[in-house]
Amino acid sequence: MSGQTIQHAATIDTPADVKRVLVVDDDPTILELVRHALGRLDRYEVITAVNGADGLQSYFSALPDCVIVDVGMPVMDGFQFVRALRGHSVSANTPIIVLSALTDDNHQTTGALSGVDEYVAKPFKMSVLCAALERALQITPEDRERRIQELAEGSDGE
Amino acid sequence: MVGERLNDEASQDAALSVLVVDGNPASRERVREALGAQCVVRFAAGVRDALTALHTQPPDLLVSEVDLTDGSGLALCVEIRATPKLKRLPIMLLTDRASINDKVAGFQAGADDYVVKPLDARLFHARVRLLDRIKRLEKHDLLGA
Repeated sequence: MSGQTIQHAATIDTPADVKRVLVVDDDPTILELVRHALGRLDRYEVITAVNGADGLQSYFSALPDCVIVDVGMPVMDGFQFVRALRGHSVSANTPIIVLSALTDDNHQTTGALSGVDEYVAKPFKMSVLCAALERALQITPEDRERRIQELAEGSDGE
Repeated sequence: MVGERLNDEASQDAALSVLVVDGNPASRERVREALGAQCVVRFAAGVRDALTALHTQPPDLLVSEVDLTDGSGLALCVEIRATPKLKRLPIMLLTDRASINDKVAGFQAGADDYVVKPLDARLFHARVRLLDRIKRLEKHDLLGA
């Protein structure tokens, strides 16, 4: 595990109206772009990690309000990272957005089945990512549980 | 939100056969109750029993503890991934081990999912179904259908 990227400890409080967002991507350009763009909005505090394993370390150190994660990464890919979060009661209800160049239907379906709330295609517009972030933050644990049960039953529609 | 229905799910409603590897009788009973009548559940107490069961009658999906009486669930994952006829078997680790390193090691050993106990029966059942769907989708992709 790289150990890089934990830039805010969980003991550092953020104002109630500021959401802490963990961005996990092995592309430093994407990390900087998202950090810069969200940071300008004054309502997000951004922390970053470079792969899924590093992301888990950052998640449990900083306990973010939301996660944005790439799919194709070394050590632990994005879908494994998502399943690791969804499989533990501490992290099971965190809003999760996938930001990926893998945009075919099967990848998106695998994302949904893994527990992803929103899927944003690369290349992306910041306005699209921000809209997905706002939607994901509005999802309640009950909404998520309902969707998981529907997906498990295969009743998620055509 | 995404969630396109799979095309090859004709057998989705068929009973899913699940092999549960856990040495603790109370844990096994909780898993049996959680999976209910919709799954055909068999049990193995450890690695050796599990490998025998896997080769005799491969299940649709494996659920294993990490800490087993005669070895590690991680070693079982590695063995399964090295066995051609089992290498695509869906594997979920269901364990008391909740550390980050344990989770990373689980996925690196070849597990597809990692669930930390205590078991939430409804959610666990759903996650077993979801993993089954994910692996069907991967198989569909590999076959180029």
